[in-house]
Amino acid sequence: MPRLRLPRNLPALLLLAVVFALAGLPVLSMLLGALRSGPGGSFGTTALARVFLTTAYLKPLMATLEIAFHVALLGTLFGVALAWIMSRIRPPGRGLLEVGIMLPIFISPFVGAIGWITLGQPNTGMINVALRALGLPTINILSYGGAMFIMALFLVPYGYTLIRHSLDRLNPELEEAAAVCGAHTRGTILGVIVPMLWPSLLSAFVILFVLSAEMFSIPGLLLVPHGYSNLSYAIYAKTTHWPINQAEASAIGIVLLVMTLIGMAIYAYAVRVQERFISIGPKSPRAVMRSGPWSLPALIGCLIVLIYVIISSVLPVLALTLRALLPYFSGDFALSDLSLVNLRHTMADQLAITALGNSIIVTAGSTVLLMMIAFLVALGRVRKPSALSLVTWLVASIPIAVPGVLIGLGMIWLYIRTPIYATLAIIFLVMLARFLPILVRMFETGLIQVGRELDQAAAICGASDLTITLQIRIPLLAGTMRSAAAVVGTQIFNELTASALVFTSTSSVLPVVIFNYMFDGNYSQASALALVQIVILMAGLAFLWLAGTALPAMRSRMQTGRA
Amino acid sequence: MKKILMAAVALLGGVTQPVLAQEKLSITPALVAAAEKEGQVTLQYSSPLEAMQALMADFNKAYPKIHVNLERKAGTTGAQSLLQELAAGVHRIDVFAGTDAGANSTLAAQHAFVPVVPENVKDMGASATVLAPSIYYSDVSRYVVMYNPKFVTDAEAAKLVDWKSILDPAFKGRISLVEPAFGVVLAPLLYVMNAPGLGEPYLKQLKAQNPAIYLNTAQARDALISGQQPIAFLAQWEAVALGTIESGAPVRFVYSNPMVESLGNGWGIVTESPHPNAARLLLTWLLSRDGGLAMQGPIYAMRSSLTNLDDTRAGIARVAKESWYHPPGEVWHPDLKDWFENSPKYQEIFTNIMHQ
Repeated sequence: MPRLRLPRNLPALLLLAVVFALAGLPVLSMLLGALRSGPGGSFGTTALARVFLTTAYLKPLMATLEIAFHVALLGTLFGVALAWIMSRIRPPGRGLLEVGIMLPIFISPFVGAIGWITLGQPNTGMINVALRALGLPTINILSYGGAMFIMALFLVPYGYTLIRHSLDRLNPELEEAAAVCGAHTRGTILGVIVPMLWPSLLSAFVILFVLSAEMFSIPGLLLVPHGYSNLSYAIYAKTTHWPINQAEASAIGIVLLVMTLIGMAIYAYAVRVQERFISIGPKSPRAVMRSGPWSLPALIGCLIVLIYVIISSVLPVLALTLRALLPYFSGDFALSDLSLVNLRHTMADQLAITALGNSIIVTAGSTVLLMMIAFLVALGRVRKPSALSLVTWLVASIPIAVPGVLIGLGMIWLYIRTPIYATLAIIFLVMLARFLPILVRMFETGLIQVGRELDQAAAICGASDLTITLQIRIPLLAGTMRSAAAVVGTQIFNELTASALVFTSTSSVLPVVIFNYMFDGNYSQASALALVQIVILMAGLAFLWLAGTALPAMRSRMQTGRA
Repeated sequence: MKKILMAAVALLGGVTQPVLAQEKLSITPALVAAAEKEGQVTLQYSSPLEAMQALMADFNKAYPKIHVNLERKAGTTGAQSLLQELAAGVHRIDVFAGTDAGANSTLAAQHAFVPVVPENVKDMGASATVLAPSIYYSDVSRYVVMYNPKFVTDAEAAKLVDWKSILDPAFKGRISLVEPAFGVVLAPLLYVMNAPGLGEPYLKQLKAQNPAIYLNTAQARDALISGQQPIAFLAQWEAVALGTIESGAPVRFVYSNPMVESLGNGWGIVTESPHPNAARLLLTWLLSRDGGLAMQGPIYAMRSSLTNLDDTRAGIARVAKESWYHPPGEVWHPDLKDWFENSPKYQEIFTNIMHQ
């Protein structure tokens, strides 16, 4: 009886099909959307011609490039400084500081921007009130410099993760060889570390550039009211001002998409170069400062990181907390004004409760699915390079620069005639499309850094691919997986722009309810719900930490005890 | 643009011509029983959540067996979403409420609503039935200039009554405007574009006052309360001013002279709604005297458009006792034909001037 022979690359083809359905189709739908003149209307090139053949959007494009460049530069510099301190100076309390550095990604930029307006607006911002009382010059967060600074603060963790990872995994023998040859710290940094690290710096810069170019929340709240206009604002205007022109919004989205594709090409090049500087297995990085965790350099390093944590997370969360406890914020208040009324109202609101349940379901479900798909895409790209894996990687990467609102539009066009539309399932699909690129990036970096020699050794010993994955790759990537789950889970829990287009009364999620409270002018209740959101995220992260670190350690101690 | 024009022409023609079979609406035991059997109704709306929750709580006091699913799609995005769904044959929403007359007229022209005639139609003001039998406007919006008394003196506030006084150099850098993306923001812009001596030159002078231009009215109120931009111009209305004052925030308001009064929420029953009886019951109740009283309640706080219903709002009664309060003088109503035909052009002019 003849045996059915499946093509050798069937799994890779299946993966491509899944990735195309999840990430490619919504983007394709958005691209086709640029050719639509209206709902159910005819196709035409008017929108594309206006965007690409006139100067109508030249000024917003230049503004986008300018702010993205500045934010990427500043964010990368912050990321390098923090990664250097954490990896090489090794301040005391590194575990807690590490959590502190990553905190901004757990705060939605939209909510963070509200916190920063409360802190830094010129007249009555809390920081300015304090500075004025001390006779010091005040700050203006509602300025280009202010918005750039806040955007950089919120994006630093992405750059930090990439740079820190590379810094930790740089082959320490090269640094030791430089030291043996008499090179000083400065010489080692400039002559050994920087030349090995530049691909990571470039990767971090590109990722931050792309994320800044797409971001609407912070420039939208801080700069647009004062006459600023960029591409993400142009998209917002075309999707909210009557008569709505979704075709033109999609066409503007293509500009961002082109920028991303260029960015991804640079990133891919940087990653390829980065492979030259890897170590086999986890080796400890070399500490530059050998004087112990309580030495002056270590304490200064600790102080710098603490200042970053306070500015990027503690202050905006404190401002939010204050707003949640006050009926309104007018710059001054008495202690007797503080109450828990807003929190009680929020927790009694059935819409908020339903949305909270939906958010938890969507976050848990799509994080698990994304982890599996992203791991396979990254594995194909790093361990089994081929035209097929490259195409799969590219398709999975494309949504990174498509603004959320356009992913939402693409989803509507794609699924409006299907039973998925207006259900929680479309919210799942939104999350899978939006966050696949970030997770693929994280797994890719992780896989590159652990090297392929262990895989090859296991294969020579006869291990199957599945065995290698289960017994070598996944254990070595345990840390990356925890980080990936934390980062992507947070992003999903905070996602607003696409969900705001596809939600219904029964499939609403938490950020949509927070946004609607704010849209109503109910900033106090919105702040209260945002705090609930942050607390739940922290609880989820604590659970991840417990499951990933504390429990295995406890089990290991128990086993050692029994032995 | 051409499409909007055609829609407006078709619509205005439709209003004066014999229309499709119009269903008479009244609350009968049979309708209540059928609605209760359906058990729920989905309302897509644009107003603040708290206001709509309060209004629906009043509806549920009368009809506790009908659950109202509230779905907020604010501004014109809500109208666009409904248009897309209907074009795709998705019938999910039972009742629609929107404030943008242009968007509402487009929806009506696309036959998005069931033509109905409530039994008390004779009690409604002329503006309430401008899009009848598709849409009925249950309330009116009255535009106010809001200010923060901690940062604006009484003498300055008195000046704000006059439309041109906002151009006083003393107000430079203290004003907020809002992008005219929503119905409630468009009406005062229509006045500006039509009033003698105002128009584009006025907008340019306003821009020279270095205003902050917010994306929505809530941001402008927040900046007002915090003192960042202590005068909110062209974009706030009486009901939100009353609600903000009620919260204890440092806010007062004046009516410009003339005061702009325009359509509030326009309500319609969506065609092929999944809960047709509950939708009819809800709309009939909203347009009834009981509905009008609920709309004039402490949280929704809009003035009902029923001509036989006095202004029973407690918020207005309270502020009327304040020394700073002065009732409106002359009233100006937008020409709806101008609204339907020209609002996109006015929006574009505003945006071009303000984002120069």
